[in-house]
Amino acid sequence: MTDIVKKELLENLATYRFYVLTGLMFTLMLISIIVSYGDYHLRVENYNVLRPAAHVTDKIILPPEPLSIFAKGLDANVGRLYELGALGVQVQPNQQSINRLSSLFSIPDMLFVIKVVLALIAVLSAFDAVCGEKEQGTLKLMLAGRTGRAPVLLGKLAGRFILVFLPFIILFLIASIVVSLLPDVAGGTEYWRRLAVIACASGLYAASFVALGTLVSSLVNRSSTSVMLGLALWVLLVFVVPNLGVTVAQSIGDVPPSDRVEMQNRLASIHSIYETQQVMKNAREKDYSRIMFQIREANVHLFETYRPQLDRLIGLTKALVRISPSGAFAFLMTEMANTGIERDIQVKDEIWMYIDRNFKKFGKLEKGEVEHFQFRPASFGEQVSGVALPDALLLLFVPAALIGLAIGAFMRYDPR
Amino acid sequence: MLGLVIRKEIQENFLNIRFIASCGISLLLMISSIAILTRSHEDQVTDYRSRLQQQDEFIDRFGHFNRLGWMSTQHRGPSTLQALVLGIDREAQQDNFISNPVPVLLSRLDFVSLVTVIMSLIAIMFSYNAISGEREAGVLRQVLASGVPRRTLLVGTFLGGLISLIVPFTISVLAGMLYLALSPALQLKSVDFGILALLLVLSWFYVSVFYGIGLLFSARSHTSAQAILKSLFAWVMLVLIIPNVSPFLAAQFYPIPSAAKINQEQYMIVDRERDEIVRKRLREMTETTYADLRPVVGLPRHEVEAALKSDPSLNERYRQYAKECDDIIAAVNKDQRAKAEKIGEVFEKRSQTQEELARVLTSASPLSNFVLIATDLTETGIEADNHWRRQSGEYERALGKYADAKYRSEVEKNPAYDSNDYLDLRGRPRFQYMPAGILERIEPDLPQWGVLTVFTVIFFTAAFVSFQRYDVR
Repeated sequence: MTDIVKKELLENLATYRFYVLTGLMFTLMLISIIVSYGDYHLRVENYNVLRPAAHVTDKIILPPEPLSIFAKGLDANVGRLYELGALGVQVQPNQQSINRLSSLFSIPDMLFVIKVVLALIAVLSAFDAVCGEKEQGTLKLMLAGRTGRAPVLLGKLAGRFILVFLPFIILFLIASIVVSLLPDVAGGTEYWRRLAVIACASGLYAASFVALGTLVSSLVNRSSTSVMLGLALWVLLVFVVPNLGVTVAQSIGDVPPSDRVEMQNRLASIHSIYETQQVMKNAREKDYSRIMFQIREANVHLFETYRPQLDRLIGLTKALVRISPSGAFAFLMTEMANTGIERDIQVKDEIWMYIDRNFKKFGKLEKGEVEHFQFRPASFGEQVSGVALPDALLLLFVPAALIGLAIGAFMRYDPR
Repeated sequence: MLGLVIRKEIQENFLNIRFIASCGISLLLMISSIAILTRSHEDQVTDYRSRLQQQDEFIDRFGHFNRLGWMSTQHRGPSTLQALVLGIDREAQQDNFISNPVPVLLSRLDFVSLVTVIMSLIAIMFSYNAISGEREAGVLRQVLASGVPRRTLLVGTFLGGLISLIVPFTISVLAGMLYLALSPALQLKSVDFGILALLLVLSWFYVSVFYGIGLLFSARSHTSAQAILKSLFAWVMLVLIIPNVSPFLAAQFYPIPSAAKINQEQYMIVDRERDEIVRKRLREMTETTYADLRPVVGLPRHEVEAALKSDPSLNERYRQYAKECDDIIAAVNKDQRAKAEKIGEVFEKRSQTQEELARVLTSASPLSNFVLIATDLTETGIEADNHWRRQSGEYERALGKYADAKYRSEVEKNPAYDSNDYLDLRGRPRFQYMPAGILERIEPDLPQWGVLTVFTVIFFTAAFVSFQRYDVR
């Protein structure tokens, strides 16, 4: 098997394809790091401008996450300014100083490069692994030897995987070192541990698409058919399934848009203020605590009714999107970069609980200092054993299953 | 001769299994995506109407001058053709604390993503071996030896390939559009059918650009394997990289201050600073001009009303006082608003410059031009955003004027009336968004139409020139 791996490496290293694909990956990773760091730097500047003074307790803003340079995810969202009060929470709209054109296109971060381009490179590197040899007539010779079919296929798979992943991991390592040395990025243990998980996940993800390309190559007789089928599956797994998953989930999830909930909340607050003022009009002693309690009650009711619906929708979306390894990888990488959906939910939950604990003080219904907001993010260990686990298992399962299928197909492959 | 080459190309494609499979998949995806998005659109329309009604009823029942702006937020309804082109996803703007975070991370599948990603890739898949593949199969030599001129062969291959791509694509789009037209919730008008026709033409242009790219690299490569790699490299750059990178590059080249900082500054000016100035000026006025009214001003409402009723001269004096108070508030409001608006205008100008720069950078990709035209045509993009903001601002001013007049007439009737009292606003003007006309939607994107045409011409011409010197052996 080692000989097969060596043969695959030597045969493909000097090819035009290897140079083009590696060049493409290098260019994209470079662009991604430059653009993403620039964007991160802008967010840091915004954060420094908006950061409230130490004694201010009714405004919260979290610093941008350095790992968002690799996967921006929801970082711009989480890092917005939250203005708190007894009436609820206001989020600053359009905090990011990026033109509206960006909302029409995707974010060109490392997540995008790996999810889309690395997967494409993997498929393009493996589509002729078996049928290409058959076309050249070398497959018959190879199988005429003493090596069994399974080791031949595993050797080919390993060889092609190394050709894809080795240049990637070298570039990724260089990018990680460069980023860790940039201003505003603290590259401590946490940074490296998280990037190590992302690198492993990228390996599994690339292996999935190399295995997919090899499987397709073991099912057809011609390279031209194999490349067509490989690209069709790549489009299906990278674009169609995740995007259609979100579309289907939103369509069947039957969750009201947040604008409706916001409006109901707003009108309930105005109603409480208005009604109380009508009652107070003729009172000599004006007690506005009633307004506060009514508004709080309305807020809590709406939040507690809406939240389970939203959680269900998120759960359904995740389940549908995870049908594709691309979806599972995106969830895993954003969670590891602290820019995922769970981080967004956790921040909002903690802010909500903070207001709940300090509501009377915010509304001046109780004397005393409002406590300082302390966000305790989930630790690396908690994330790995919790939110990242299903995606990690999926990313382990998919290449294993595809390799199994590829071996099965190759066992029955006619090399003539 | 040209007709023969075109017919051969079409026949070859139509009998090809991969061609049938690709067309079948695109048809299936097109119809399923339109069907799902139409259902979602119907829900959005229902929700929008019910929200409008709820807010209207609230203002009718509890309207008061003080919080009118807060209670009369304008809702933006879904665009009629949003089931086809999602454009700027409003849920992804995350304006509310409880917004669903998923749309920020993952986008939805619509007509635009199907054409820009899938159709462009299919176009490349069908053109990358149009020349190099024929050479490998040995057919190219035979065809050229039989007297077919090179230019006829290339034009025929281009037209034949394009027709065989466009025909099934058009059928699938028409099927999807028929589904849209039959949806009772959408109620398409004649202008919408015009937009649908333009979208179809736009898609043809877009697909022809990528067919041209495939043909160009096919004519510049000796083998199909080289042609596919070069074509895919170009595809990745034009579809995945340039459009996504350009807005961020524009932000690097031309940074603008934080929108949140500007909002904060404006808020301070029209809220806290305004309150402070009003308080100061009212205090000064009460202490100097209306010192005699000081004992009355602090009384509960019913006692003020009783005192005014029992003393006509006091009533007259209080009326003057109330009027001057309102004048001070109105003058301070006007000054502070003008100050805040000036800051907003400067920021808006800088944002527009950055957006223009991003538009210029991004126009190097056919995808960006397609997206900008499609979103503007269907009123789901940036121009529609500007259009809506303008109308919404005008309405806010009209409503403010109406409410102000109403409030003043109430104060005229009852000097003790204040801005927290019920104000009958049932006769208020209602916000009715007027979508831009078809010409207004086309006009801003004429350069983009031009760029797409230039792309097609450039790639075809380059393929033509390359094929003239192509070694067929």
